[in-house]
This record gives sequence, C-alpha cells and structure tokens, in this order.
Amino acid sequence: MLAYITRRLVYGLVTLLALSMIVFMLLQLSGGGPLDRLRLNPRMQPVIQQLTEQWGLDQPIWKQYVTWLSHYVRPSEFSLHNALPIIAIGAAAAATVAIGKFMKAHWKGALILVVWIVAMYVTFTNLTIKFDWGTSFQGAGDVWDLVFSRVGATFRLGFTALFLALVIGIPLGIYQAIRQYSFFDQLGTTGAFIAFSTPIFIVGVGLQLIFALYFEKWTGVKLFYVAGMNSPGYSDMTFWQKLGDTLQHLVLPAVSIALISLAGYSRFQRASMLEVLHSDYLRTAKAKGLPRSRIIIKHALRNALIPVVTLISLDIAFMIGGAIITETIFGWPGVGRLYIAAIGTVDYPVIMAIVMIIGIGIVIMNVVADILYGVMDPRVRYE
Amino acid sequence: MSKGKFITDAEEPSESIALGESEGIAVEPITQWDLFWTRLRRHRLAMIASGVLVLLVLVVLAAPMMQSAGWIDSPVERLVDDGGRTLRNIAPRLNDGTINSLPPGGEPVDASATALLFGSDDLGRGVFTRVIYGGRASLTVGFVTGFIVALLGTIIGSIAGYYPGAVDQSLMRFTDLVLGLPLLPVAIVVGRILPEMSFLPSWIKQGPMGIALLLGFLSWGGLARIVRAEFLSLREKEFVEAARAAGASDRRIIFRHALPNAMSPIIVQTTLTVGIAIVIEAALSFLGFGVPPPTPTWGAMAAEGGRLAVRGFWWELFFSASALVITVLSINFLGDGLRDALDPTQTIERK
Amino acid sequence: MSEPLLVVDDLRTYFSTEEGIVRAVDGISFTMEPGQRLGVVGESGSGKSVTALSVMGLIEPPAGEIVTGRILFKGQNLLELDEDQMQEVRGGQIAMIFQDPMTALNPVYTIGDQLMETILLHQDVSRSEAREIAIQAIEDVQIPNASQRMMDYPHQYSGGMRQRIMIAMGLSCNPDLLIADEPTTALDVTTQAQIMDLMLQLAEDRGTAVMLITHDLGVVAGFCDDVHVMYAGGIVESGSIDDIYYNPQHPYTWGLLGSMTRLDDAQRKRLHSVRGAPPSVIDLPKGCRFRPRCDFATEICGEVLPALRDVGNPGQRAACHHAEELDLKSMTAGEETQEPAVSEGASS
Repeated sequence: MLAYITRRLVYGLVTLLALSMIVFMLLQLSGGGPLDRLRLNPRMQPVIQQLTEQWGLDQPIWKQYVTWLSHYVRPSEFSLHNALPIIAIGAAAAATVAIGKFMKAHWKGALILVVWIVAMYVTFTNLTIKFDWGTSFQGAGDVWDLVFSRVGATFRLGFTALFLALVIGIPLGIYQAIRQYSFFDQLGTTGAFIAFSTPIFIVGVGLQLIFALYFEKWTGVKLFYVAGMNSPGYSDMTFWQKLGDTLQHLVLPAVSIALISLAGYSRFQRASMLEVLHSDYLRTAKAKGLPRSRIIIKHALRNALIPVVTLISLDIAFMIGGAIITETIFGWPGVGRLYIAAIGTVDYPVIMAIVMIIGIGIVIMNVVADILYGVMDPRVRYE
Repeated sequence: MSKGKFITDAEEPSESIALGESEGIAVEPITQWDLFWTRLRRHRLAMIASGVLVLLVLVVLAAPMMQSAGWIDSPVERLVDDGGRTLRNIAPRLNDGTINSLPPGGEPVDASATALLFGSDDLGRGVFTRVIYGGRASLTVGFVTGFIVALLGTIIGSIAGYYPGAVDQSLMRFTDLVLGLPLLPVAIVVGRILPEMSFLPSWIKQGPMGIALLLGFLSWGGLARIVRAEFLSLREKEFVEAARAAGASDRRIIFRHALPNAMSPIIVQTTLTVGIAIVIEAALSFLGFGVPPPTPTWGAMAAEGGRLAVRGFWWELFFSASALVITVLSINFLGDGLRDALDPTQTIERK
Repeated sequence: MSEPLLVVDDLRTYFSTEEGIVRAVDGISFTMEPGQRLGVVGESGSGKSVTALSVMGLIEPPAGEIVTGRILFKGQNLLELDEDQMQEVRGGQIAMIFQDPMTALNPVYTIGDQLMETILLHQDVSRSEAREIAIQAIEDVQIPNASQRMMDYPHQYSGGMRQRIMIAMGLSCNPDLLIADEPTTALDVTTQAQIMDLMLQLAEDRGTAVMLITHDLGVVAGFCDDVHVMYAGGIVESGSIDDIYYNPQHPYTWGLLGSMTRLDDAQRKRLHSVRGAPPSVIDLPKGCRFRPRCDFATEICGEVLPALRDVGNPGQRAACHHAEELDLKSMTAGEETQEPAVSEGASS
C-alpha cells in the first residue's frame, strides 16, 4: 500500500511539473512582457529593475522557469514551535498501523482518518512555514500571504456548499432508489437533470437577482446581500448579529454551488444504491429475515456509500478551482476571485501560485480518495 | 425517462423468470439498429430533445440566409441609436436615459418584424438575432469539441487498449497527465491570452474555433480511458480471439470487431462532452475570456444581461440563459436516452 | 400421518412487464412432509425459482405479485402474515441458499459478522454464545480453522467455500425447511457433489426438509425422495424418484430423461433433446402448454389444459390427456420421431 501511494504521488508530481510548465509557457505567449503594464507607471521603475533581476526576466524562458520553480519549492520561513505533539501523533499513527491487523477494516479506516486529521491540525498549529512564491506584479504584495489570506473565504463557501449538497443530496438519492419509479423519484430525476444542465453562472446570477435585488425592491426587506462576505461594521456586531450577517452573505453563493453538486450527489447516490438494492447479497439479507430498516442501513448503505465517498474527496479537490465563477458573481473575497483578477492583469506570480495550489489539491485528494476507497471496501488491493 | 429504464428493472429482481430465453420460439432477425431505435423511441424526453436540437441546428445554419432575407437583422447592427435621440427609431423613454434597451415587442422604425421580438440590449442590438447567432458559437464549440474528443479519445484509447505493455503504459500516463490538468483554470488562462497570440491565424484567435480546439485538446482523457477499458475487456472476448485465430490483421480486428463493440460508450460520452463544452464555453465568455466581442455568445450575453437586469431590464439575460439551458438540457436528455438505448444493462456510471 | 410441513395450494405468482403479464407460476399445488427431500426440476423460466421466492415471501411488489393461493407452513398461511411475523419465519424456520455464492455474501462484512447476524436475529443468545454457534456451524461445513476464518471477508473464500458458508448460515438456526435454489450450478463439477452431500447430510442430522431446485435431473436422482417436474409455470408430473425415472407419464419428463446421459444404459444410443424452446410465459398457448413441442399431441391438447391427476404408480401424478394411452417407459426418446433434434431446447 505504501508503495502504491508513493507511486501515485510521484505521478502526481510529474503532472504538477507539466501543469506548471504548460501554464508558465502559455503566459509567455501573451503579447508583451509581464512588466509592460508596470512600465506605464514611471514610479514603478525601481520595482521593475528589482523584479527583472530577481526573476531573471531578461533570461530565456526555460531559465525563467527554472528560477521560478526553485523559488516556488523553497521555504522562505520554517519553524516548528513544538515538536512533541507531532512526534506523539506520529507514534499514535504507527501504533494504529501496527495493531490494524487485528481490527475490522472500517474501524481501522475510521481510526486512521481521525489520527490523520488530528495530526494535520496539530502540525499546522505548531508550524510556521512560508514559501517564496514571489511578489505580485500588480503591487498586491507577497503572493504566499495574498493567496492564504483568501483560502479561508473559499473554504468557508466551499464546505458550506458541500455540506448542503451532502445533507440534502445523499438522503434524496437513497430515498429515490428505495422508491424507484415513484412520482417523487421522477420529480427528483427531472429536477436533477435540469440543475445539472444549468450553468452555475445562470443559477448564481438568477439567485442574486431574485433573492438579493428584486426581493428587496418588491418587499423592502433586506434578505440577502448582493455581494461580499461581511458588512463593513462586522467587527462591532454582537455574536447573533455576526451570525446573521454571515448567513445573509453566505447563503446565496453557497446555495448556487450546492444546487448543482446536490443534483450530482443525488443522481450518483441513487444509481449506486439501486445497484446495491438489486444485488444478490441484499436478497440474502432479506432471506435471513432481517427487518427492512436493518437491511437498508446495515447492508445496503454501507456498500452504496463507497463510491460516493470517493466522489466527495474529488469534490474537495476541486473546491478551490470550482468556486471561480461563483466568487466572481458574488464578489466573494476568495481565491477564485483573486485568480480572475490576476488573469485580467496577467499577474504571473499570482496566477502560477493559484494554478499550482489547485493542482496540488487535486493530486493529494486523489490519493486520499484511493486510500478511503481501500479502507471502505475490503476487496480493494493495492498493487 | 422512466419507460426506457423499465426493462432493466424487470430483469434484476426476478431474473429467474428468464424473459429473454422464453422469447426464443419465434426468432425474427432483429438487428441491433432496430433494437436501438425501439428503445430510443420509448424514451420520450430524448425524442423531444432531439427534435429541439434538430430545430436549433437548422435555425442556426440558416441564420445568414434569414438575415439576407430580412427576417432577422445583423447581430452587430444597432437598431436603436446610442444617444436615443434620432436615427431610425423612437428611443425608448426609460427612467435611465443612458440606456437604450428596448423591451420585447418594442418596435423600432425601419427594421425587420422580428427585430425586437426579444427586445434589444443597451447598445440597441436586437436580442433575438444575437441569441440565434450566439447559438452558432455555442453549437460550433460543442460539435467541434465533441468531434476532437471522439477522435482523440477513440484513437488513443483503442491503441492503448489494444497494445498492452509499453505503448499502453506511456499513453495512459499521458492521459492521466491531461486528466490531471484542472480544466477551467487552464482554459481561463488560454482564453485570456488567446487573442494576444499574434502567431495564430485570426480564425482561431477570434472565432469560437479557438475555444473549441482548446476544450477538445483538454477533455479527451475521460473517453480515452473508457475506450481503453472497453478494448481491454474485448481483447479477452471469444469473438476477438476467434478473429485473431482466423488470421485477421490488427487493423481488421480493431475496425471490424473491437471498435463497433466499443461504439456505445463512445457515442454516449461524446454526446455528454458536447453539453459540457457548451457550458464551459459559456462560462468562459461569461467571465470575459471566451469568444471575443462583438461575436455574440450566450455566455457573454448572460453577463451583459445580468448587468442590465440589475436595473430591471431582464430580457437579454432571460432569453440568452433560456437558450443555453434548453440546449444543454436537450443534449443531456439525448445522452441519457442514447445510454438507455445502447446499453440497457448499464445502471451505474463510474469514473 | 402427521401434519404436513408445507402445503402450497393453487399458487399463482405473476409479474407485470412492458410486454405484458408474465405468469411465472400459474396454479401449482404440492405438499411437503417434515424431513422430506423434494426435487423441483424444470428449464429456466419454468417457474421453479419463483415458487421458492413465493414461499420465502421475497416476491416484491409492484413488479411481482402473488395473485391467488395459499402457502401453509406448519398449518399457518404465510401469505396472511404481516412483515414482522414473516421475518421470524425467514431465516429462522425456512432458510434459503442461492445459486451464485460469489455474489450472495455482503462483500464489506466478515463471514463471522454475517453468520452471527442470523443467529442473533433468530435465537435468544448472547454475542459470545452466537460466536460459539457460528464457529460450530463453520466447522460443521468442514472448513478448517473456523475461529480464524470467521474474521475473513467473503472475497478471501473460494466459490465452494462460500457456498459452504451459505449452507452454514442457512442451517445455523435449525430451520424446518431449507430451500436450495440451484446451489451447485455455479461451482465446478468436483465441488458440486461434495457440497450436495454435505448439505443433505447436515439437513438429515437436523431433520430439516430440503426443497432442491435444479434443472438437472441427475442431481435430483442422487439426492431426492420425490420430484416435481415443472413446465411453463405449472407442475406437469410428480412422483417418487423411481416412478419418474422408470415410469414417466408425461412426454416432457420422458423427453428430459431421454436427453440425459445414463451410465446404467447398456445400449449406447444417440442423446435425445426436447425439440423447440419453452413457450413465452406471456403468450401461453391455449390448451396444454407443452403441445407445440410434444410428439403425441392430438386435437384435445390444443383445446383443454390438462389437470394434474393420478396416473401410473400409486402416488404418481401427471398432467397429460394421453398418459394412459402412451406407454412411454417402453419407448426410447429420440427414436420415435424422425425430426432432427433442436439442440437448444434441452435442459439449459
């Protein structure tokens, strides 16, 4: 299994290298150099000089790429505040693997997952690390700081949407499968098809117009805000006001993302549940005399959730890149909107940094999806 | 869509009644094609969807003729003047004097009867005409991307699936690499710099073809994987073994035996790709990195219409968005119908 | 004579499909005594599996429905029980073993889990007692290292081993009736006999009656006391093994026997096959259902559906208008007719 994961990570690294090269070269193809816009501003002259030297912009493209890459992977700051808890967690992980032989697969899986999450949390709270991703050509400051100041907003939006989609979509799909061909099932299927076929920007703009703009115009009640993440006076609010304000900003963009992925989850869950419901082992469970509820919960769900769990990890992988359009529509201060702004001004370091974050996220979550699949399905063998 | 799936359902819970075998008493030669048609016709939504799509293609193809016949106007011609004062029509009296967006049915002097069926945008251009011409862009992107994906996916997938070992390995690594590229972010970068690539011919830089080529080259990976898997399983099948034993050449086996059997996933996947390409092109245009103006596209019209709708002028957004949703919905329904008709046993789609 | 274990009376189970109503089981009646070994033989689609599923209460509406009939199990009509009561019967008093052991076990739970689940469900025992019973059950089906193998997942077992587990599971609660639906069809030939022997031995030890569903008359001959031959949703002949084998009364039974290889046959003759294919159970022919394939059909066969009646030896019954006139046992199937045999019609 370790060999398998290592191999997947190596493939992932190759993909990331290719991705960075492709995007780097593409950016070079655009007319004019990266600093052309800065040149219009005479005060920027020293900055241009410094950037040209630092990034070797007067060098051939491949040299520029190597310069960029060596900066990108080099930590500019690194300090571990407290190594003890990390070592402790590491020992716990090792112990889990060691005693894993004597546990049932799903308990082992759950334990590994918990240890993994705790380890990540402890590591991140005890670690300061920073990479030299350069300075924005548009004068927006250090790229690492810039990008990571936006990640929280994107995750807030993304996980809210994912939560909504899962909480509604999965039970919906299960219910549709159990009541296959009922009116409700047909309704759900048609609804999912329509949601699936509606581009996200139409959903977003539609929700924004109706619930944020027209609703206020017609009723005079401010239900949701058109854009942004918080109102200006946010820091002075009481807890309940803060919560209300947050929701008033968050609901519409989250719902527009959730609507479409909800359709996907319900379809996927329905199909996977139907396959299980028609399986021989479910007939065995019925022939044993198990009550219907136990059959569904213990025998059907456990199997039907396996493919969905991998879908969730892939969804998390695309979270940063997936909110680009929604963030743009709702003026959400996340990574996606930063990306569009950087694209508009061809701000190389920012574009490269975000593309790479998206790529790294996909590689890691793909491996996580594989591991989860193996944990949930005892038949899976890693070669 | 329930009807088409019913067969599948009847087979599963009670396979012991073995409908298939008991039909054998009157064996009529039913070709696969007949079977496919019968099943597809039962899928009512897919039939409606194909009707809509045929109509759309006809209208879009006939757009220049309709324009020269005077039924619709030019997609970039202004029916309403900038200042809203003179020229050949009555400027609408709107509360915001700077905007010349006419509501549906508003009638300018001197233009064709259909000119303002869907109203006009803020530059005074007829939305009806622009929706039709926007369909040209969307369908071009959809079909060209679909064609590239079908071609590349089938060729690369079948070669990888037919020649195991080094060829398969290297092709699949390459496929994984392409699949690993995040589609929208990369497409945005290319869409942004495409018009600035001076070395490209203008039909790639300015029209929908550039976007179509871009999307095609980015999205064949999924189909290649499916075709490869299909070929791998076909390799083991008796009829391919038999053909090989009979001395058939590789090319003959691929084209006469393996490929026809891999046809249904290719058709279904390509149909779905057409829908996805149309959505992504619209998203790129919406963000401003798609087909450059003044060529009308549904995505760009939706973006522009959204800004107008804020001020209460809802029609450009409504009609462009409706056209987009109806088109994509039709393609997806058709894809669903094709899947049911081509492979009724398939109940779940993975990866 | 004691109360019969199972009485099936005029059972009709229909399925509705797009093409029409499928009369999978169309008016069958039979009785089983405690401890009896009954074979139910027929081609695919003859309704034998649907009969079993009807008894188990596993016919699921809306696709399938038991239209009429009574299924009396120990005097109680199973069709009148509610779902809770039926769950008590299923697995506890009537157990069932399915055809394909490769897919019949849930892949994500261990063998021990799945065995203990049945035991805990039907017996009032603690978890550790259930564990003991499960280990004993695995040992009974001759799988070595039982307590170790409890922790294995189904995919770690071979097909034959999994069918042994299914048998262990079926018998773990000492049911009164075990229904085995083609239990060895999916296994290779050497394993088949072992599994059959094991299953029947264990059933005999426990006094469990066995209903063995198969398309293979040979298997029935080796393991059963009595046989029902089913054709197109109805029983066409029933009797003891010897009656059926040496004194068949129905042309279909006779045809099936002719299509078997028999080691006790002195003369080596050509294998016969029943010509044609079974009728669609949607469009049943008028009159006798076997008529289109029967060599002896007359006018009446096209008019009246023959009822099952006593003919031949005592206790033997057949549904043929001409059972008395035909002296089937002295004829050899395959030599009577000149028509070339159609191969696919025989046992499937």
